[in-house]
Amino acid sequence: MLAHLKKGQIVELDFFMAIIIFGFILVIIFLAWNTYSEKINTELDHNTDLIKAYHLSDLLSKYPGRPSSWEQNIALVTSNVNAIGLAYSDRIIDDNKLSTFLTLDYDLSKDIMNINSYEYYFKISKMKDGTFDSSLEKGIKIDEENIIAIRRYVIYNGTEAIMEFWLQR
Amino acid sequence: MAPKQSWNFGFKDKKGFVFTLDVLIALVLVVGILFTSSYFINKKIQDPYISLQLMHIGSDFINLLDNQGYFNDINHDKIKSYLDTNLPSQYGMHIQNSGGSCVLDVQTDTLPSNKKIVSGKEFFISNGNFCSLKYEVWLK
Repeated sequence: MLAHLKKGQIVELDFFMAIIIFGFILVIIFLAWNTYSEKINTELDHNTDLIKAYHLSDLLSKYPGRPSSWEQNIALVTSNVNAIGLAYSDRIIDDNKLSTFLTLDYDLSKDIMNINSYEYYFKISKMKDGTFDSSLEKGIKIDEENIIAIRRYVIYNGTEAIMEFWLQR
Repeated sequence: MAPKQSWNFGFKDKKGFVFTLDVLIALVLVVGILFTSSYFINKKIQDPYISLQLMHIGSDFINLLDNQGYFNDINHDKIKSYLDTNLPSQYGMHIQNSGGSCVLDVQTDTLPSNKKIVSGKEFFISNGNFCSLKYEVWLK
């Protein structure tokens, strides 16, 4: 009878050991799942923003926009402008397009670029001494850590220039 | 009569040792899978910003050289001088012809052996000849 009882206890101990190990693994999996879910979501958002910022910088520096003469139409019918581009040709900035873009209403420009839930900052400066005659900047410069700052190298007024584009949610 | 034991880590009594072995193998497998997946997740979520920025800098500078007429009549010294002057000091660049009849091989610094190098291909026309080049950009 006693031997039979002891045998049962050992099986029980085995069972509890299994439960503890299983619970321990379950807790580790749960913690890892939570940590990585959060990490992956943050990275996913960051990468989405990064790609969006690069696409926009590409659009601004490489293409003339749609319609290509949007800078002539913007004052008349803003709904006609589908995409803002600042290039006369690949990475050569058109002065008229840039002037129109800089005077464009900030919220309207966000609406056209389809970044209503973001803030952006745009600047063109000379590559060598950093300035042009007038201040060529637009938008809101928010100095925070999670901002995405893109620098593109373009030609403006026949000289090498840096086009900065900052994007933040 | 001695009780039949299934608790048997020392394997002194060989009966039931398969269950312990089973648990150990299962544990090794589960922990192995956890560590492997953790390693790959961490590797996967590294910031792609550096690679993207390097790729765009390379492409932008090839375009600047092309727009400023440096590929019309290729002069290695002039191209190197342009890159030395204009390329931000934290970057290194190597340009080499990869097709067509053009000869091009310009390097701003020694290629690093232990750093990420991003490369790309661009096409241009030099003296009426269709050419292509490969560029490599890295952070010094």
